[in-house]
Amino acid sequence: MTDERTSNKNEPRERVSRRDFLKYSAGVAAALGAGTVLAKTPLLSREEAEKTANAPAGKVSGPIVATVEGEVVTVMSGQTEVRVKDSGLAAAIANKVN
Amino acid sequence: MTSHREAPKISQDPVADNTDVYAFVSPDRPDSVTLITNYIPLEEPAGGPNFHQFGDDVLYEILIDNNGDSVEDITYQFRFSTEIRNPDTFLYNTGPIDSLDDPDWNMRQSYSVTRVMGLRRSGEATVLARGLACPPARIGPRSTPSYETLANAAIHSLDGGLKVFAGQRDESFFVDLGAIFDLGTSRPLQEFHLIPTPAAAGVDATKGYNVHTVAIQVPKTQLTRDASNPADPMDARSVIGVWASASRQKARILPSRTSTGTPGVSAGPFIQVSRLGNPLINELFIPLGKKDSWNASHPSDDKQFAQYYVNPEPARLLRLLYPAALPNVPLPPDRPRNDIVAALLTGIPSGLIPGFQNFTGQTQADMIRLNIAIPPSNSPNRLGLIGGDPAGFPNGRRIDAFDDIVDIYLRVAAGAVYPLIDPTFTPDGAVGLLGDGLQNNDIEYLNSFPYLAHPHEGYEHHHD
Repeated sequence: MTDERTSNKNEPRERVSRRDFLKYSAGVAAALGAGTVLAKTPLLSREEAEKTANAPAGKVSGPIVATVEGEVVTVMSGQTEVRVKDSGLAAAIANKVN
Repeated sequence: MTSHREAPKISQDPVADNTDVYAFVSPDRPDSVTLITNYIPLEEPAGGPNFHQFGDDVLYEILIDNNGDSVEDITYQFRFSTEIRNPDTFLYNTGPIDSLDDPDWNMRQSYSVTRVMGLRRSGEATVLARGLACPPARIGPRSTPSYETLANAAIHSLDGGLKVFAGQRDESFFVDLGAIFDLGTSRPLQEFHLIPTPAAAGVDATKGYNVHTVAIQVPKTQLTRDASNPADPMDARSVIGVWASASRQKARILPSRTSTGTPGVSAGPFIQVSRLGNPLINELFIPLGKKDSWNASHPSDDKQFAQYYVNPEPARLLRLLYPAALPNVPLPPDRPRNDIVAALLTGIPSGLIPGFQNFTGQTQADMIRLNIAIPPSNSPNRLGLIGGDPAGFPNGRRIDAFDDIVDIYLRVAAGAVYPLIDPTFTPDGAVGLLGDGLQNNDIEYLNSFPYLAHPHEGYEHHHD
């Protein structure tokens, strides 16, 4: 049993737009490098990630923290953590810090 | 100490370091149970100007299992918030602090209490209170002249008959640290140590230090699985399991040079960094290479650590270090320590001790198991159950003058109760003498909630 398997009911999960993501995460990803990705967090499919990427920007009120490992991007905001398997997005972030 | 600085990682994170957990039927209010957990080991009372306080970025939790599966059914969560009223002075207070809303108190902390029914991260959460004041640190006769009045004002009554307190207290645990961690020395018995020196009196190494305490008193009917108040100790509903933890959010980004005034970013789910049920488990039973993962794990997964109870290192050391006095400490393969497994991992099943049980089933889990149907003792025995007092450890855990944990553990490790599971075994004669030479705290406990003594004052403190 681990803590990270669920998010807190009291904090509704907000979708993270691709635009937000790129805007906020580049510096953080550089700081964290290839951070540990935990095994039991939800992993979005490519299709789900695309839907997320097409969502309107500005839905997340607080700061976003992200880590990139291979083609998996882990996004954290508030107490929510979401993993996105998206090689394009991962590469785009990596390109920002290289 | 019971869980002070007990693992490599948490020893670097004192505000999240869970040092002791207590769970007992309240002696002055026997329809309720008192749950106490302490953090911040060996707090120096004079540690200003930024006196010790809880971590605003730490989630503190007390967890209760009431159906025997070793998974939490009820969790009380405590979150803290610090307010600095005047950022233009280095002073914690700019005059005497005479009340919890005194304008001279510059750096103050308050907290919220949330109850979660079900799993702690996904269950049904109810905020029971917000903005509850902590008392200030006990500084000295000019800054906190009426400290007891201040601290008592920080005991808050909540709806439903609950009481809560969160703030600085005396370090209640007493132990001869200097001797214990000098190759397992007991000063009163050190003439029998492998490296002998003349016998001496114990030294209270935690004397004069403080901790930070979270305490909550809850009616029994709010803790049992069916809201009952069982009167029969043999009723399975009468046993609850209790542990505590501290968690931090997964990501922490420090503020950059250009983000002056912002506190940085914390994000992600809370990850457990400290936990504690029975005293001394991670401290003495779990080896260095496993300690950090023990702190991060859940009691329901404790079967992975069972080998350290069946063949406990403290028992092996007693036989090794005191060969003349303790040649017959029971050890596997001949004598696996199923007595310790029962006491600490499953609870004691009915049939071993007449009229007593605190069994929670076959799931091996480190929890304090409290049979709430057993009333408080009018004359507590400091050795708890092994001293013939069923209201004492390992039936719950009372504050330390009533459950002398070090002496209990030393005697049990040496085989004091092994005859319960193996009547052919006779403990060594020295077992009854084992102890660290200390039998009481340096200052008196309180007779009512939160029971732990008021903290030492920075101005007047001493460690000798």
